[in-house]
Amino acid sequence: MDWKTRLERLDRRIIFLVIFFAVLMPLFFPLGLSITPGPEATAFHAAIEALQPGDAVYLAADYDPGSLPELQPMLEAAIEQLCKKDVRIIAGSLWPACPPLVNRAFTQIAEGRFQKVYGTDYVNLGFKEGREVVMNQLGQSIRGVYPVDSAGAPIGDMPVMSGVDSYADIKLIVNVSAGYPGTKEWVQQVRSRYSIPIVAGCTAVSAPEYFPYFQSGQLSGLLGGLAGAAEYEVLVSGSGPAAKKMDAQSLGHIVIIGFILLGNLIYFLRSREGSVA
Amino acid sequence: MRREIPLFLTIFFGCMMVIGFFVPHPIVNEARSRVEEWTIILAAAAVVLGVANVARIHMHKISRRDRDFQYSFPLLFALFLMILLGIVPKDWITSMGFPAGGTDEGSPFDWLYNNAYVPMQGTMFALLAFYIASAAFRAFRIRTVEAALLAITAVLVMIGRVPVGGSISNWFNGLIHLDLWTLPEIQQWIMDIPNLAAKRAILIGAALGAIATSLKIILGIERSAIGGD
Repeated sequence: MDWKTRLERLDRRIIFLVIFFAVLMPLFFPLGLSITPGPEATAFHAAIEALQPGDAVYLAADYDPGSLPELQPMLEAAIEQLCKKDVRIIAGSLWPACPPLVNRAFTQIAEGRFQKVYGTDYVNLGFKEGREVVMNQLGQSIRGVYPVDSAGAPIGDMPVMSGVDSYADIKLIVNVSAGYPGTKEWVQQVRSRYSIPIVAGCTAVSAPEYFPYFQSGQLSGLLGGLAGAAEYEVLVSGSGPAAKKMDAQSLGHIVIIGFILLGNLIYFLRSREGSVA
Repeated sequence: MRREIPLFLTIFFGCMMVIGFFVPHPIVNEARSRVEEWTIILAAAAVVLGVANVARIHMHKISRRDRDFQYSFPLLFALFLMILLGIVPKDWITSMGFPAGGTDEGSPFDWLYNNAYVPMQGTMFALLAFYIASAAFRAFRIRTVEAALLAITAVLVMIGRVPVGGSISNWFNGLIHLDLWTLPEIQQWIMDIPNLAAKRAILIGAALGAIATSLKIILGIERSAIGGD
């Protein structure tokens, strides 16, 4: 059996091992590659930076644990920047599995690092079924849609909700989304109707779909995947969990590109053999 | 009447939502808002219906001993366990020695979410990296000009999106003493120009299609949604 045939019949477990080590090694031995924020992440950061202390922000967290490695760093970095700006955070979710992830980020960042108080500086309204209808109804009355928070406590008396009951009282929507309902629906249902600025973070696979919204100004900022999260972390605090994982992603991409080239090289050589024969 | 009443309701509420979007009058807004409230209630009821349907299908599968019926047991067990832990009074859970009840932090529901659901979903998505690598080697063949364009674009975007792309470009530009476009810049151009043009065309086309389909449903031309042909 010649080397081309051997490579052609390469056991896929070897491919799995190569990608496994390519992703694993940089986590233990970082390469220290520099991360340069792109225009989308810079705009995301600038939109939050423009807020004033005391402003209210709606944090729409629409994802589940499947997208946690990509999206949780974005959420945490966004909460960190919002806390630094001393704005009030009102979080809600249209995905049923998301509220505990929001709680986790609030506990670690808002409470743990900034000593923010639940109910005074931030609130987690939890999950509400209804998708686009919920987005629209929040424009009429947040208290109407969410009479209680995710733990069942009435939100009407919470200081964080003082003077806030619809999009008219919200300065910015920060959306972190893994799909439907998510960024596209927030733009279509809320941005166009209520003219409220929206910044969004999404998975890498869905980022190309939202570039038109960013270029048209319907999204004031956009973070795409782990790379977007890492760029944003660099702007917010210089580093973070996503930035640390970018070395692993870099090597992962190189290995996949290597496999594409190798597969096609063998295919090309085989084709030439066939045409000669 | 079985067809006419649903058709009338579709036309009435469909028109009301469209009018409510464009007419800012308080009466119209109030009516639209009320309908949206009903929708949220119906959506919540639909979740219960969905759970009941999943349970019914899998119980039926077990009773008929269908293919792979044994997988229905863990599904039903997990489904009912999580529902039970979430809805039983919190006092009952804490009286059994757990630090919290319901879906609160520290409750059995929360423990299962963090230690079973999160790792399992993470594992499922992590497997994608392995399958993509395998598929890249075995299936991504450049057989046509279009496939070649796709491969070149994919490689440029993949390498340009990660920090190593910038490092390679800087090293290469330093080697030849020229200020060529870097890989991140090429990636950005691909995303901003060709990708944007294609995505816009798709978005506009899909939106026009959605408007046409919605109008057909609202006007009663397309009746499959209410059980018609």
